[in-house]
Amino acid sequence: MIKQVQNQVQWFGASVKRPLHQREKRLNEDAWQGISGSFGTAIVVSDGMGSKPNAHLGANMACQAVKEALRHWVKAEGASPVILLRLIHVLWSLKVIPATEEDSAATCLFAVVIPSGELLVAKLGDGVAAIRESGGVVTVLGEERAGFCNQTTALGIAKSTQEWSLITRPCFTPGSAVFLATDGIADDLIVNKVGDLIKSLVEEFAPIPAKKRWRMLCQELRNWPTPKHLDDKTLAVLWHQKENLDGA
Amino acid sequence: MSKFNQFTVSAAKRMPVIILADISGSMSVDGKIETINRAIAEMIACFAEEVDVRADIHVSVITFGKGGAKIHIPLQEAAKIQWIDMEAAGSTPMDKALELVAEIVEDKNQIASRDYHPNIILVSDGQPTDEKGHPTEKWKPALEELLNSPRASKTLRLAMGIGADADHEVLNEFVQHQQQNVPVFRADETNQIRLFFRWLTMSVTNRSRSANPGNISTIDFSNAFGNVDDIMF
Repeated sequence: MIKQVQNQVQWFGASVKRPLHQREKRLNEDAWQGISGSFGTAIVVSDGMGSKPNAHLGANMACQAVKEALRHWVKAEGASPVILLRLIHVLWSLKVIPATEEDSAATCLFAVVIPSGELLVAKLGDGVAAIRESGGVVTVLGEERAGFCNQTTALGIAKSTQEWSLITRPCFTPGSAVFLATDGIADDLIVNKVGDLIKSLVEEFAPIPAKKRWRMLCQELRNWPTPKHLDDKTLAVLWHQKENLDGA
Repeated sequence: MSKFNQFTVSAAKRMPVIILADISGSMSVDGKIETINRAIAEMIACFAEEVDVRADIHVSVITFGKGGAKIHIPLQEAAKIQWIDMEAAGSTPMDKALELVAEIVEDKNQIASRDYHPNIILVSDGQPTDEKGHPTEKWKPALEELLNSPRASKTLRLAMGIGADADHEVLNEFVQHQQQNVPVFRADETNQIRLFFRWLTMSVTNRSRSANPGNISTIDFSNAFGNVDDIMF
């Protein structure tokens, strides 16, 4: 039964550079990964802080750190999510060396369905992490930003795991989905449309073959409709496939 | 049309610029109020002409003088502002202006969380007073509340003291506790008022054109005014 759940948990995502980075041939300072392994199935997105010299590295290492932390954490039965978060901080700090943590600061958002079927979604810094249940109920993690755009906490800035937002669910029911996105997307979303966006992503994009879907998503992100949009844009979706849907 | 059109906002992010202008009676002396009127009008016109920006520049002017603090120009896109000259009269109720700007900055309907941090510029030539013109310490709790409020504390605050009577204790307090040291600009001649606003115009437009409009480079008025002089000649 547990193996069956894991087989039905699918993911996809895409990331594009901001228009200026394309012209200036700069690196994408966002990163994302979809990963499956003994720890379950997970998605991670990260936004390297634009003013920092190692933003690209910081974001990529955030994805790597989550992946490694999950491997260790799942093996320790009963370990609390806080230990997972602490592990992510430590691993990320090691991975950005010889750069300083401050120069590599990056947000970190991830969602994982572990082998027991439990869902864990966590978020540090700007961006959006939201769960859409099969019945349409939407839960957005964390409180609304207290300040203004580009003023965020992140790996390399946060001093405590209390700066994370975290949600766990005992199971990830068929038809449910988690959506993660960096602030290049999150800042321009209409708050009460997040659920509709998740529904659209799962219903319209999930059934498309992976390569074609990735190209289509990148195209949509490059043609982002909000005027004067600036940031790199990254999204990832994790969903529990209903039985009548074809494979991803 | 983008598939994401229906899920996204249709407005660009804003970069708010809020001027707190002292219009007490003393500003009517030596052409100060006329110079400020001209300088702010020029600044707004420059913002309005900017096309290559990645954040829409919005401007508000709050005055404090006769009758307390008032919104002279409500926060709006620079291109839509019809400038009306301010008139100098009355006392210096700075505390009321600080309370008013805190209200505006904390109001998410006026400045959204997705917008860039507001720039608040305090311009004064004298000591804060009550409505009757008596020196008062009321600015202290008003400023403390501004600096401790969740959003206003995250703004960029600049100050210009005009003339020898400007209260630099107040202005220095206003620019404290920011990510970097921000000096108070001293304008001993009316020409320097104009230079300050030209520097402000360049600083805001340069940021609004940059890849990271939220980032603030080091604020060094001496270098900035060197550049302004170069442009003038």
